Amino acid sequence: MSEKTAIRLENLSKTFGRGKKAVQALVNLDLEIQSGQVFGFLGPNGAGKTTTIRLLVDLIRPTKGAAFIYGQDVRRNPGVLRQVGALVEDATFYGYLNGRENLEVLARTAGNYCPKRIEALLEQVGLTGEANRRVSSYSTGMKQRLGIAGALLGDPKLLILDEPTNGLDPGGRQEMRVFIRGLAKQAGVTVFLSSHLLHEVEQVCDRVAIINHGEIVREGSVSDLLAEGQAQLRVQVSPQESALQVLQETWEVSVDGEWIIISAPPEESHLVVERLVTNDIHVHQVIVRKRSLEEFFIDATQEGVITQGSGGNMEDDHV
Amino acid sequence: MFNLLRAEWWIKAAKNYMLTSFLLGILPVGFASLIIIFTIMGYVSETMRQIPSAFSTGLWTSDMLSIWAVVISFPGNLFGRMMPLAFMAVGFAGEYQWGTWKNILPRNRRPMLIASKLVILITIVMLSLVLTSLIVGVGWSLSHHIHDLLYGPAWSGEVLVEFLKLYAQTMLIGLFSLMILGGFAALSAIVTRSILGGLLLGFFFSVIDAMSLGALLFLRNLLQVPELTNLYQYTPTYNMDNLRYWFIHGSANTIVVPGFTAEPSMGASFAILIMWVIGLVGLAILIFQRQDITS
Repeated sequence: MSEKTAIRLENLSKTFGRGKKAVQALVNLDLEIQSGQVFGFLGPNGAGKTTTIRLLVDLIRPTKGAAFIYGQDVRRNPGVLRQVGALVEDATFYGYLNGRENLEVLARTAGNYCPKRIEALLEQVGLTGEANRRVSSYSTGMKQRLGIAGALLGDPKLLILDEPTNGLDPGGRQEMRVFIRGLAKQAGVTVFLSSHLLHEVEQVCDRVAIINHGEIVREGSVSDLLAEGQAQLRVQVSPQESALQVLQETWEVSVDGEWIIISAPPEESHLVVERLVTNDIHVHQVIVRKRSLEEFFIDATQEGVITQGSGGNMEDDHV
Repeated sequence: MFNLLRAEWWIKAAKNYMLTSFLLGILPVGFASLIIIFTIMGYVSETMRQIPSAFSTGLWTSDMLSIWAVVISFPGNLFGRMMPLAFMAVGFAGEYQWGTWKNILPRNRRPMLIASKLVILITIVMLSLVLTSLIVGVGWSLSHHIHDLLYGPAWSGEVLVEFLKLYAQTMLIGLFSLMILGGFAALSAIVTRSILGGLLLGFFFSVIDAMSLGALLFLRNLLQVPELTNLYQYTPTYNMDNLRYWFIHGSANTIVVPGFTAEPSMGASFAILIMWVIGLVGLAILIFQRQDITS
């Protein structure tokens, strides 16, 4: 395996408990993530995101299969995790210590203590002014930012972040997205980002995998996933009856109140309008509805397969 | 290793003021307070003036050494080991409570962390006991002096050398006691993953060890197996007592108990204690290495 592959999961399975109480958290997970990517790991609560991350950083033992980081089995060669920074689930620290002391403990424990690095990271995550406050008095968002700083202490090549924007306000979330993209773009850090915030993943990630009931149901680049399935054109016209007759000669159409829904890609919108106008039909509005990642996610997690046109969550573009 | 020790001592333990001052400060502060109170009471009446003599052995050497009995000898160790045990249990189980084990990557650094925790926690308890014995020695000397009471032995090079030798030997036994206690604490905390659970299970182990002779005698009579009492020679409590006997009397501690015939040498007791320490710490590390960190 080349150095280009940052993470490889091979037939990874995890069952908690035994006998009747056994809970299968992950089922034969296979996944490969290339270096330099920001990879989104999407799934509803309880889907197996955190379990996958815990297996990746060797906090728990797999029931079957293996996790590889830069070609090294993390259980057999745990030293490879020196190249990894991780924020697993909520950021947790010693409440009686202040932010700076907590980072010092982490750095000394990991054997990479450097006071300048700690100060730089505190600055980077915007906690310099709060560094001398006890962590027990921090807000969830501040703890998350300190957690990110902790994950970056060892200057990692691979950063694993489990719901990193939890507890952050909208401004903080935006900053975090820019920060994560910056890490990948400027420092070449590979980022594995677990989230249930689809908008966040759509904005930050190059590729995504969707996990549900411990299985990966879809994987691909964000743009490919969004392009999957046909987009819809929605037109408001008069008279509607004539328009239906004209359009159904070429496209699949249906009616939704005042709207005619046409199964056609956005690039055919001008053909639709042209057909209507040449048949003396008045066109009041044309809307292109793209498939959003959210819709894709709901389809994938609810049914395990992709369905089309479930409506509701599409994004509108007025033409 | 230096970085780990520094993180454990100067940052984690020293800055956890409440825990450290309550569980370990209680001994030196408690003894200092008692000595001050009894000294002041001595001014009230002639009868009360004799109080320092009643609570002290009248010898600074014995008074200073007696402090170590709280972790070494039965029955003092039955409850005397509770505070150090609580301190160590919190040291280990606290990581579960704070949810901080997951921050330590990679996994193979965790045994080092357990080892450094043991070193630091034991060192702090040792320092607390040394400080307490100094307070007791100096405190009772002053108290006796203030009230014109006799307090010996008189200072001389010979007395000092003999005392320091005995003190070092007692500290060594104390160190074994604390290492075994640390093993109990680590094992209990790792198995139960909670401070309270770690404390209760650790205390249970400690009590079983301290009262093992009684338990063996009970089983001996119940099962009608006369040799059962001889198992006592393998317990930490007996071997610490045996070492003390060897240091003071130059012979094995031949306790007069039905069925007990063992007379282990000093070397055998050392070996048994070392095996206990290695066994307990090793088991704790083994369980910890196989444990899923899910919180």
